[in-house]
Amino acid sequence: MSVSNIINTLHPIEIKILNAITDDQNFDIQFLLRTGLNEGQIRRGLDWLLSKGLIKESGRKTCKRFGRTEKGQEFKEKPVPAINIMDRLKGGRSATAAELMQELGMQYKNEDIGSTIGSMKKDGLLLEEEGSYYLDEKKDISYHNDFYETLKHLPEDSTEIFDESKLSLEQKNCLEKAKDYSLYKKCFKIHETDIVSYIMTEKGKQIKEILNKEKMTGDEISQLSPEMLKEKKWQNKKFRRYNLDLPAPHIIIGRKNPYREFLHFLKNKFIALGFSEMRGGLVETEFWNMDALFMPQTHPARDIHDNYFLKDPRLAKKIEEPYFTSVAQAHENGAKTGSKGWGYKFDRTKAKQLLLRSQGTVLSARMLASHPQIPGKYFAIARCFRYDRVDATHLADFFQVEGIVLSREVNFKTLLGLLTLFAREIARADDIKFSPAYFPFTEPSVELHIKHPKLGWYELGGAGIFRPELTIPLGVRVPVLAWGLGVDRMAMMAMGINDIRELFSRDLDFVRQSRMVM
Amino acid sequence: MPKIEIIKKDFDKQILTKLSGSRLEKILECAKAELKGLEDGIYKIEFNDTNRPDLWTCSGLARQINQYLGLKDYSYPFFKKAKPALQIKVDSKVKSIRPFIVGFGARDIRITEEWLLELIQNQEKLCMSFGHARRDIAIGIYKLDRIRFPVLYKAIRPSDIKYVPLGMDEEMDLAQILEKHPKGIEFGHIVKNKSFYPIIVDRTSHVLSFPPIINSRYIGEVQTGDKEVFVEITGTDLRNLLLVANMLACDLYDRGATIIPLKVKYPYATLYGQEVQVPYHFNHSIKVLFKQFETIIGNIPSKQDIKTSLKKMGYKDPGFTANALKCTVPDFRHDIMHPVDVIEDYTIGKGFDYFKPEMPSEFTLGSLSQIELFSDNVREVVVGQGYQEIISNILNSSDNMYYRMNIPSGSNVEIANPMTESYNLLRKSIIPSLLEVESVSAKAEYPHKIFEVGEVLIKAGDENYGTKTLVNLGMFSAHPRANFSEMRSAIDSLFYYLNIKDYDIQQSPVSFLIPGRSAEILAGNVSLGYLGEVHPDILSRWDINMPAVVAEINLDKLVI
Repeated sequence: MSVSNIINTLHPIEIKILNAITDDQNFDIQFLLRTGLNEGQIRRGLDWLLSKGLIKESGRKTCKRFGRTEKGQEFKEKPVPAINIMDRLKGGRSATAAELMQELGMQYKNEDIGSTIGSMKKDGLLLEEEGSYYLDEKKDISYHNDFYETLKHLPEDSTEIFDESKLSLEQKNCLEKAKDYSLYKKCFKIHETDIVSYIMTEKGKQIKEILNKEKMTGDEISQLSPEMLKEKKWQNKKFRRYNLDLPAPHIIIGRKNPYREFLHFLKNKFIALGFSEMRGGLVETEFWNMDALFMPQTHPARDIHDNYFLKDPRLAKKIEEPYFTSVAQAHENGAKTGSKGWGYKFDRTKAKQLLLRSQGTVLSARMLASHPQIPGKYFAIARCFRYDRVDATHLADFFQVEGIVLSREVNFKTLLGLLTLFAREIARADDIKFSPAYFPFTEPSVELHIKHPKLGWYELGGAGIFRPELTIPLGVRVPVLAWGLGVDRMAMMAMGINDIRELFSRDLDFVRQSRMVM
Repeated sequence: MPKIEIIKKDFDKQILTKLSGSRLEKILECAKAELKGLEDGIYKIEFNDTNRPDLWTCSGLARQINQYLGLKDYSYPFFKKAKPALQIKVDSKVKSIRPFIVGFGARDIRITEEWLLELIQNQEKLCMSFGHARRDIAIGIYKLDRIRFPVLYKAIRPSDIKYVPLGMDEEMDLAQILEKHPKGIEFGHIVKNKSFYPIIVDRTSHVLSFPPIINSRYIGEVQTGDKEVFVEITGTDLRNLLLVANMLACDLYDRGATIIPLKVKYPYATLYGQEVQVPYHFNHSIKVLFKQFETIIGNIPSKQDIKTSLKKMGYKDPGFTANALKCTVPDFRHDIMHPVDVIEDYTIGKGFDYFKPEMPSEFTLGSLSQIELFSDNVREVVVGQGYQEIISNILNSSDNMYYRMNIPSGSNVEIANPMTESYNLLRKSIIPSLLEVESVSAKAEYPHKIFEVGEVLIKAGDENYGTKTLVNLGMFSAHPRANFSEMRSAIDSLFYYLNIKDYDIQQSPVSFLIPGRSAEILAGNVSLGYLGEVHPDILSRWDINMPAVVAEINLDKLVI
């Protein structure tokens, strides 16, 4: 740092210290107290000056320092118990320990009275006869008064520490003797500290010379205050220049979760494309979760090991009609759907089993059964549950993004158009391809693959046209396009993470630091 | 999704052109299959479609590809009515145990090692994936020349017969097999609770098999070099058994076998009569209206176009009426249930690239649900108060929800079949999720002010499902001076900006909050939520060493 830079960035404390010291003369903290700065400010100022190389250490010596403890504070206003005990026993009067405690109990703790009696007995100041105490007035009883006076003289330990050089020899002896008194030794503390002395360096002298020349006192304005403005105190004053090399303090802000920002981005896209949100409960019946989607009751994905079932209750009270019957018939023989059906006996009890929603398509099925708008577009970002072991690529519960389009006008080509739109709007991908796919509830079915600049080709979603065996029993007679998007990979990439569990991170540091970079 | 392994050498021989790398990958799309790898001369292939078991073999997949590329016409003469040379007689006692059996013979073959491996894999795949682990379908393959027909399918007591099962050296009765044989141990549960067990024997009472457990070693051990085999399938659904028999017969035929049809004589009625010829011609024909084409793909293709595309997908000689297509479904497919299935096959045969995407053109209004709009408003205000949003899992553990929250067991909605104890119930409150964050975040700079707006699940006996999904706001603040009044201020300002005026905050105990420092938030008689300082005992159960104050509010009740 250049000299002018040093001058411009000196803190008022540093200026005050430099102004107080003289060339080639040792100084210490004690010396600097005359500047009116407190010990803490002086220490900080010295640290800064040392780090800038303006002063250096010139020597150190060890000395004892004393300070009053919290216990010692008690005896700032009232004498130590020994003084009151001696008063009470003066002139040959006697008292039992219990009497002393009773009489002095308002002022002192019993344990302090007890320990004082004990100490005085050991010293021979008190004589005991049949449980009563007398004062041996032949003994020198001045020590307790001396200790009390010395203790009052000490500063409170927490604010300031007292250099032994300020104590007389008598006072030092008095504190030395306190070791034998269990109460007294708790009243003060002895610290052994190094007293460091410093001296200006050549660079320091140079700076000090400039300070003198420019008449800098350290009283330059640092923080402008309302008072200064009101009273125009800023006039004819200099402003202290700031050091811009120092890092600014860190701010903790309130903010949305980065994953939420991503979900918001999706929601906004769907709304912009004319989709309305669908909501539903976390618990569903097998009926709505699978039967209504025309998944046969014997489908392998309907196993106990593929879904979470409820412990209590296990079954729904009822399933809404006419859907219960119309869906059951579609399974059994196709009914009026033009299908031959699955050809098995539909189990109505199995349909009532309660489980945790395993796919967002439940919401689409329910929407079809609740008089949807035609034409209509609906989407859901729904929490779903999968019977998967949780690891870097699997979660037990997660968000699924999907939706439907109902219209007389839609078909396989509009489905491909819709998927193209999603690829462009949501993944910003221009390179896309479609391939045949299988989903139990759509026919035809298609997979959407996109080419991502970083990830390469990957499957963004699956879609299809709902089977008539699904739509007709739910009362819908127009084609229904259904789609689902696997967007978590996009979210993970935007957040720069590789472990899917971090989308639901519990680590506050991680959540605070992570960003959505889209 | 089913995965199979195919020996590349075998596959290359059956595909009538050279296919590899990206060309193979692209062609596999016509079978909804994906190439997952090629290792040591073995292709690993995954199928998306769980309803096309006919594709799960080297021959089946090769058939689809050869047809798709127009390399070969396949026809199977053995489906025609014939005078079956072989016969299985069924005893009425099996009706209540394992009611159906089908079978056929094949000769003029030479079992190679690759073929044997494929047979075993295919048998395994069909029985496990398609046959619910042998419960619904079990397949046995035998040396044809060691069987004296007719074969008898009957039920016996477990100790009635002894034979040497595959993989063993000594004779065992059926009970011993269930107890000692590895397959008996694995699949015994399917028959165990019955007093009679199914058995297949030949005319000379030699045991073929104890289905669905294990074949006999003498007749039922097919080896490399065998020239004739007998195939038998038992199970619970005759239609599926016939389908599997058809698939196996077509595969064998594709490899050059002569199929010997067989007649099964049932003493009881079945969907297909009392005498069933196997392989079975379903004669499943389906009519697709041109109008249906128009609905699904937006136009009516020409007849020639339909014919060409469907031929690529294995349909034989489709015919037409004035307004419809009529075609017969191949006898090894059961996934064609509705005209839309034929239309999909048309689109695949045609190739998806042919269909030009069209943008949806109708106007619809986009919107969010009331609760989501409201949740967003709440998030906005709480973020403004300096809180960081958390998103947590809804599944959690009883340890966290009950013990660490001092809440009685059974208060939450629990899962009957949890995979692990860490996820055995659903949260009914957001607060444990936030305490969990705090418990692992002591190193993060304080103050910690976090919140979540999310779903919880409560028990609700009067609801149809006995439960109710709610959207709650949970707030949590931890720092050395965290206290009740801080959170009360937060709630007051939140309610001010949400324009909620009439509410009271009344002292009320909450199991995990400090008594006298917890309160209920009420609107008239309706409880909206609670707030208070977390009890030090609870903090210590979460290993938290920082004072904390929380609030939780149900948002559903605030949405107007």
